[in-house]
Amino acid sequence: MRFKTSNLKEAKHSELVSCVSWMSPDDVISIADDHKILKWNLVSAETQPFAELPQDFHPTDVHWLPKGQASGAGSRAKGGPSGSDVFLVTSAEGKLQLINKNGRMEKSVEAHRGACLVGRWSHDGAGIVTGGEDGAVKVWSRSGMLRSTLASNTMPVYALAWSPDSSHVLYATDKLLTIKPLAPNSKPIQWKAHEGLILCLDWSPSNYRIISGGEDCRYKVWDQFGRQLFNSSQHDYPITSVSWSVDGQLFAVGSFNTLRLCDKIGWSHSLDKPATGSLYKIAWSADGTQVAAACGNGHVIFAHVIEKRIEWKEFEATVTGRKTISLRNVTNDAWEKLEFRDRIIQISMDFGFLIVVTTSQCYIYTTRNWNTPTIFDLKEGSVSLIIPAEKHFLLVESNAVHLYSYEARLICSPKWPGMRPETLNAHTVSLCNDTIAVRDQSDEKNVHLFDATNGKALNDGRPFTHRQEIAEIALDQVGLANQRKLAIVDKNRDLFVANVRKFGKVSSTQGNSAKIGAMVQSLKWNANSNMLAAIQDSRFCTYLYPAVIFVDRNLLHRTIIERDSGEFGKNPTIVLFSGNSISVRRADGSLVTTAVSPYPGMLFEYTQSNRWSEATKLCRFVKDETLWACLAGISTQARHLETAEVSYSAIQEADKVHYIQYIKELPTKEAQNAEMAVLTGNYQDAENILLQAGLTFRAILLNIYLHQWERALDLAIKHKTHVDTVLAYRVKHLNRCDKDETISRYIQYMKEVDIDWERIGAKIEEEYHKEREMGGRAGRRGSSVP
Amino acid sequence: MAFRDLRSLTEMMRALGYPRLISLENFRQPNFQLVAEMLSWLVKRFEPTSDLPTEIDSEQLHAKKLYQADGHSVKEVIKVASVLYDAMKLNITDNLNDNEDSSHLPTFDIGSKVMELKQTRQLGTQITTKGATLYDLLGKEVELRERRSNVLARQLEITDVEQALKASLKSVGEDIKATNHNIENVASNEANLEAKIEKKKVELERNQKRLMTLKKVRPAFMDEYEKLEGDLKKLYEEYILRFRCMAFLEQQVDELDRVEQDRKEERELATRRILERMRQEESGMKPRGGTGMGERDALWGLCLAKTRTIRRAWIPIRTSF
Repeated sequence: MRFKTSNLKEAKHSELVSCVSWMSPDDVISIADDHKILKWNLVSAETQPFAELPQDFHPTDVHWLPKGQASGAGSRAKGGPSGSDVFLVTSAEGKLQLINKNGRMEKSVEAHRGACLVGRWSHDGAGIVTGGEDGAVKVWSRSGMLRSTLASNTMPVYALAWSPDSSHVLYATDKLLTIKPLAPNSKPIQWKAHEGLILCLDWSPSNYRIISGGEDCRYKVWDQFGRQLFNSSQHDYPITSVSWSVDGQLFAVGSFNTLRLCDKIGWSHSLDKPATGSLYKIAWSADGTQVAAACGNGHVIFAHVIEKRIEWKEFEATVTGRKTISLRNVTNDAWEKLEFRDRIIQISMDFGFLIVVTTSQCYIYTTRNWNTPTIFDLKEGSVSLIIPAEKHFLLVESNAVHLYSYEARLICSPKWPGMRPETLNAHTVSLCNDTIAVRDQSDEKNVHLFDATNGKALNDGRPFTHRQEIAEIALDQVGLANQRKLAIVDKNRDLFVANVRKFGKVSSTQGNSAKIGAMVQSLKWNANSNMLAAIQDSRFCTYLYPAVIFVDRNLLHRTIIERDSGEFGKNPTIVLFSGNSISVRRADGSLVTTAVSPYPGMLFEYTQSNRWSEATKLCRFVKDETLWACLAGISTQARHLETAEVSYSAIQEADKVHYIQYIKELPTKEAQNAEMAVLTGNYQDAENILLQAGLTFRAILLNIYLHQWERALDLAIKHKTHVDTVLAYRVKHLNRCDKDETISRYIQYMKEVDIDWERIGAKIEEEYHKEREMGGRAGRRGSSVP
Repeated sequence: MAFRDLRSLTEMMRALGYPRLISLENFRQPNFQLVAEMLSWLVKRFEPTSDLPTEIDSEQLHAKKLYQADGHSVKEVIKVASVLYDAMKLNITDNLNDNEDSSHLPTFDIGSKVMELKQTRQLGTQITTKGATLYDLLGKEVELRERRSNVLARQLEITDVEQALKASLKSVGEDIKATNHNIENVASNEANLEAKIEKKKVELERNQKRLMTLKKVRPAFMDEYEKLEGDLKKLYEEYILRFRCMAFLEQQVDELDRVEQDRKEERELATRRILERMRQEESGMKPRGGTGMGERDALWGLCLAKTRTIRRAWIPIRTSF
């Protein structure tokens, strides 16, 4: 990837240009020390004066009210300046001005003593924060009324940024970076970031990372807690501007005669040396394909990101220009060139389809035929993300999320309260063939789940709630819809697996998810089977069957293949996990491909298609305990007793084998199912199954064995059977523990009912006999061959 | 305003190529050192030959503001720097235009230019050396002029001339005499050399004769030597033959062993087959007399195989001897 820069021969401004900002996808405004505001249209390549500023006004910063928030926020704040027509300008004279889109000044306030160096709208458009030479950080309402002075320092505040949720402000003083919460009396986080004065910083709302640059000629990448992720080498001149792209995948760094394009990890994609003087401000367009930069010698340069390259199987697509893509089939070296009417915004290639989104249309090509794409018009024309799945794909636009099939049919448009689609990224949205999962943007503990076929919310519209803020979600790609699993990485980098669909009564939401790993830096589901690859701390782990946690917790650690991730260096990310090959991107940007054993994949194929004997054969052939453990998990989940027995015995779990054998001898199918549920630890399920099948006695007995005395008594009383049995067992238990009765209901019933072990024994025998008879009848009914 | 001035100054100085990076914070506190450095650098840009004293302690500056060396001085410095900066900006745009104008011109032939340059240089040095010699010579002229005039003024005398002529005649006569003497000696030298050659030739002939006689004589041990050589040859042939035979015999032994092995296996196979057949017949449905037949056949086959292998084993040995 690199920048293709274009600038005019003659500078349009006569003095230093201090700031630029995007008005709309095709318009940019720039303000310079010559007191002019110019408007640049990129489509017609025209420049026209927008407004004139007073002579004693020297701008330092400009920022348009964030798009998308305009309508909602505008209607909320009555009497304030309307919608996205407003932008703020700060000046070296200490003023903060709000100017509307006609160039008329709406409001002008004295914000700071000395220069007002920087001003930013919050992401929700509800407030403004400014920083000045006097060291103050002030928060303003959207109409320009002072709300509070957030911080005061002895050193000037050269740069600041809002946190992704607009609840914190990050500002730079001297060599320090400070994250200050808006809430009063809360403690700020402060750390020394650079060796010299910090001149610029940015905080991405998509990936939560912070970049900063300063007079020590370096730029650094931090995470939201102030941990350093990347430190650049020293440049020749101070870094004067940094800026995240909207999707948080790239950022641009500006210095004297220098424009650099970097990956979010920090390594550099490309370096340009335009003869422009220092770049004082870089602004990304909303679609993340272009940047505008304000230059020290009066120029405004525009740069387009080109040469984005994606691959799928043997195909390789490269964006060669603003409107062209070249395709290559590496097996026969066939080239194909695709031309488009409009500018390309996003491309994606997966599952045999190439999806190209331009400013107005969406093209779907199949890899079999490059000549006739399916084309449809976009609703809004500002797609920020494409997420493909096998049967359909998701387009994230600035105000809505749409699910399309590959035949260009709109399947559904899921909606949730407080949605802000423009900040969604691949970590916060996940798609598979039957489910869409989206992390809530206001409360990051919630995940909204939708049915992909009709766009309705799953589980009665209640979102899945996690204990911590969630950082990353991912759905598994294959298997049945009712076994869909969601992998969650939370703020503490703990890895959880959750059931997407809930059946029956689940006692609590937490019973629905289970922790399987910690310190997870990156994870990826396999595209062909439900394996999960994760990088934990310094280990590279492959979870062959993560759902085993819901089946047999003890098997989990036996189904993980671990190895040292030293070869991937520090902070690697998994980019691809398909078949048995894994591609990992190292922190320096190089791609390392490694392989895992092909057998688990084969095993899943067999078990998916119910070929249990072949699965067993495969395990016998490979003679690997991990594989046997997988098979044990899968077969127990599928309630296939024979295979489960074989595989449990192969991994020497004698108790499990014993129990399975006991289950096999049970006379009725329902009892077997219930006991399997008990085996997997789902006592609630087991009880439900038993009660539905009318096996009340077994349900009571189950509760007795679980020492859930009150529940047992409740059931007995409700069904008016075996009250004495329950009481008898209770007495026996108390005698054994040498304790007195404490439960009041038991005390009450003890008085009413006599305990006679002989009679109880007879009753139990009778129950078993009845069951056998039932089983016998069912067996005769079920099988026609004697 | 202070911030804007600082920003402009840093930008200008960067563009002008000031070797040190100026921070925005450099002028928060009075920084006399830096202002002085910058000023002297700027002055040098204007007039490269000027030489300012570097010790700033004794420097007297007139501008009061400049002397404060803080934000106010920045303004003063900008006044100086902006002249250069504007000039540079203009220059860049001019250059751009120039470049576009000249871009279509053909490239210069640098080789010829280099040659010319060399020539010019050579000529230049030549001119100076010539000039120097000329100068030297002209310096000598004063002295030489006097001597020349002296010589020209002197009178010639007849007796002196006659004497000089006589002396030269005498020396020429002596030369002629020496040459004649040499010519006479040539004949005697020749005779001398011929006598020497004759003597050497005789010596050569004598030596050759001696060589011939020595060649004709046959040494006494020669006969014995030849006889022994013949014996050795015979012995070697015999050795070779025997070695060959031994190798062949060894091969025969190996072959025999193998044959033996084959036969053993065959026999075992046959016995097994027989045993099997016997067992079959024993457990068979009809215990008939035909059982003996099979057994006999098997034995006959075994015998045949035995004789055949023996014959095969001996044939090559016979033929090879």
